[in-house]
Amino acid sequence: MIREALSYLYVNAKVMAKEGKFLSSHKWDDLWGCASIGEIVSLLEGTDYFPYLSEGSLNDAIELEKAVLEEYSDSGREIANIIPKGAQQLKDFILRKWDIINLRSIMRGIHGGFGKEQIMDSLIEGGEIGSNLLSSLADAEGIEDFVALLENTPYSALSDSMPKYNETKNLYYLESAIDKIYWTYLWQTTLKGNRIKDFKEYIERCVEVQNLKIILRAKSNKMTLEDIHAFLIPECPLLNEILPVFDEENISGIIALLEGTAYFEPLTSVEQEYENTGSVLFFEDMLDRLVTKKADDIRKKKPFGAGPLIGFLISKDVEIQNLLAVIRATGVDLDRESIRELVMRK
Amino acid sequence: MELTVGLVLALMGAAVSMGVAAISSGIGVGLAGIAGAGVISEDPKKFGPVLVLQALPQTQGIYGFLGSVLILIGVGVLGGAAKEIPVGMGYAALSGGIVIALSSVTAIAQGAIAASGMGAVAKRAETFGQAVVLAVMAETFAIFGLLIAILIFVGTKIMGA
Repeated sequence: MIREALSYLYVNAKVMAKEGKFLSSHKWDDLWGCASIGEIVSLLEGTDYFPYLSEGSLNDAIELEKAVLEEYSDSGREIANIIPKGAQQLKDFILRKWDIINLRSIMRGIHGGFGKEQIMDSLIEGGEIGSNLLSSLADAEGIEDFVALLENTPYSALSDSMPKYNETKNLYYLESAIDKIYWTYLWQTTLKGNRIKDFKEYIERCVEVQNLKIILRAKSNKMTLEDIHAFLIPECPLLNEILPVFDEENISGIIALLEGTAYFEPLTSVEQEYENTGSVLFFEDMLDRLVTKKADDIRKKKPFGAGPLIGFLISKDVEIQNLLAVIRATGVDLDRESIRELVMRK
Repeated sequence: MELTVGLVLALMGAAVSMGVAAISSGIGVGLAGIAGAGVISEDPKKFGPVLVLQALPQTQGIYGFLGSVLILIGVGVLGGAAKEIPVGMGYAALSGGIVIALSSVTAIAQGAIAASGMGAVAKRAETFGQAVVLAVMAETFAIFGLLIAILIFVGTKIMGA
């Protein structure tokens, strides 16, 4: 225990110092009051994001979003470089996320018919896929070519979802397959490793949430188990009770099966809102909160181990998601307070 | 100066007092220093509070030094005239040195508390006072240890004879 605490001392102090520079609640109030991208940029002066802002960010929401993501990626890489030896899963968790983001951007670009330059411009440096492969992927002639180029990489299993894509021309199947590859890899390496138990707890929660999101969305869209089975992350004990009765139960029945787990009460509390609106976003938002809560619990339970680091990674993700929500909501002709209430994560 | 059994026991007391205190304080300061480097690498403006917190585990080293000096003066090795040290007095000096040595181990815990405190201060500057108070709590036992050692020295006429 002392050895573990020692190895995390430097990185934990650093991430806590980083958390000290998070945007304050006062700043968030100001940001949500901004009427233009330029105003957001001026409010970001003095924050960690400011050095990443270019002149283009002053008027262009996409440029500003990219600057925010670049800061996020750089801070992740900085942390990944000082993570103690033996915490490879944490490093993978941080770095591979950018591979997923970039692969999604390239796929969307190809699917949308964008040129190579435009696709390359949307990528964020930071993952483990080399720039040469990214460039070749962006240059792919179509989705089929893109998937073929990923052969011999950890993403080769994408080809399994090609028939569904070809049949429907819906990127959802490929995007879900990429998510599955990411979470399955992390889950399996975490199950094998025994050095960071706290991280295992956290990844377990993420995997369960990811599977529940797929299940609830599928139920809402009246899909069958056969439609979604390929996208569920395996070796998740939570699925044992749900899958055998998936096709018979409705959403309420699925939630009832979760009794005795951490998900039952939170999901039941938003069931009425789902009934009223038909939107699974209420469930998804609640599940995201449970992931954040888990990270907070680990942070409190293990202040000397990986706890503060896990807590930071999630808090940073929440700040980035909120900042992107502010940027995207600017210029939208809707009541900003309502948007804030709906999308702001805590 | 003749090295009698009593004198050697007293010197062992002085050695253990300083030696263990130095190791403990070194570890404590080291723990706090690692965390301090993490904080400063991100926010160099926090050097002031970090330095104060890092200095706290050093005090046990000072107590160890003080205990050693008191023994050395008490048995006439430092200053004054050389005197005959009975074996019993030698054991008493050794006991005092051991008390200081053992109680100085609190410096390690204090270093860990200071390291956590630095994280708290880095996150919220206003918690500096509380962080110092928490770290100082570990100090109490080192002070008790020093006091008991002094009482042993006075009671056995090593000091104030």
